[in-house]
Amino acid sequence: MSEFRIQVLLTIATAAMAVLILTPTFFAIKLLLDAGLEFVFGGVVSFGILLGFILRRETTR
Amino acid sequence: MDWELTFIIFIVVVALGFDFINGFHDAANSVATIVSTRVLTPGQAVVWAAFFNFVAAFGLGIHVANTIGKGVIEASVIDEKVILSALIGAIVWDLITWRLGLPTSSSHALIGGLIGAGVASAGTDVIITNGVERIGAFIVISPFVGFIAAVFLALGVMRLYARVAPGSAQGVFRRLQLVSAAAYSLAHGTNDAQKTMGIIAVLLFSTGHLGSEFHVPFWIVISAHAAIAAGTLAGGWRIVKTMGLRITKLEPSDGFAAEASSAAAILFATQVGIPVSTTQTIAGGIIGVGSTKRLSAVRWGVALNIVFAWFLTIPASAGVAALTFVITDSF
Repeated sequence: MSEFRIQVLLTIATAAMAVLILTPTFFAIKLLLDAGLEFVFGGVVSFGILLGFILRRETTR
Repeated sequence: MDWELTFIIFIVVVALGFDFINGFHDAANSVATIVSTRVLTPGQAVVWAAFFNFVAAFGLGIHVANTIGKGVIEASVIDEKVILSALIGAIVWDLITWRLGLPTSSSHALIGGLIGAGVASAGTDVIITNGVERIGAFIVISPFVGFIAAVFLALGVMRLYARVAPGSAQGVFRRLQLVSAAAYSLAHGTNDAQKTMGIIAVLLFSTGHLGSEFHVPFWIVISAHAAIAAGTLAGGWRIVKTMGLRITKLEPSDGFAAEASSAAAILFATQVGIPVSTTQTIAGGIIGVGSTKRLSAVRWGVALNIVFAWFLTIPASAGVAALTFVITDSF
């Protein structure tokens, strides 16, 4: 397969992946927002901190 | 032309000036990643960002403008002095923090200014609690949303490109960064310009120049986007001149993940009508991308400054605006 074709396929795959990752993420945040401000605040901040701790553990091994 | 109308025109010009300064300040956010990855030259990047700041005028709604106009303080207490004091409070606080090197948000300063001037004018009852609570919560939420989305996207990119030759990946992300930078400039343009639109529209509405129902005329939409785009152009050229390429080195894939996730976070907030700090949202995105490599590589001093700014900006700009109102009201 030519280099040009590989790059076109990778571009499409990356754009599709971005949509597949970002859409559910923001759908979940919208659901939390609809449930109430306290849910989106608590949910997003606590999940962000948890994610930070997991990354710290994984990247300092 | 009567004196009152002249004064209103003057305040509209000050509001557009605030919008211009916003674009000027934030130009670095819009062009830094795409310049540091050498996808575009600094000159091309500035024009690219300003163009998408302006294009954001079309089709992205005016939910944030409505929130600023009707969701912070009661429109019935708003007059020329309240709006002018709010703008002066925001501008003065921006200048003080710019001098001190604190990464504060012009958006938060404007909201603080509105609250301070409104309270000084008619007491604490004028504050629309629901609206201010939503805005206050999103001051903290939006950088976290940028962070979380960027982490997910960066991890997805790492997995997808685990067995791809670096040369191929480089070519792909050079193209995709054009799209992500455009998306970020579009998001920045729409959320930030709408704050100025809300200020101008509520001023015209409360002084009886907008009819019986609050709305944002198209000339205000176009003017606000033109002002922020012009600010980005001017600010970007200054960066080209004074900073050159002394910008943090980023890989094109990192720039793509940070910009795309921040753009999505800002566009989400815009669609639900919440004014957010575009600077702090992309800072969250960049920290997220950095965290997937090595958490200790993140410059935590910057993150702590953002937290410091969260607690300080609204009370401080409200204080300056209230003081300005008291002084102007005594004349």
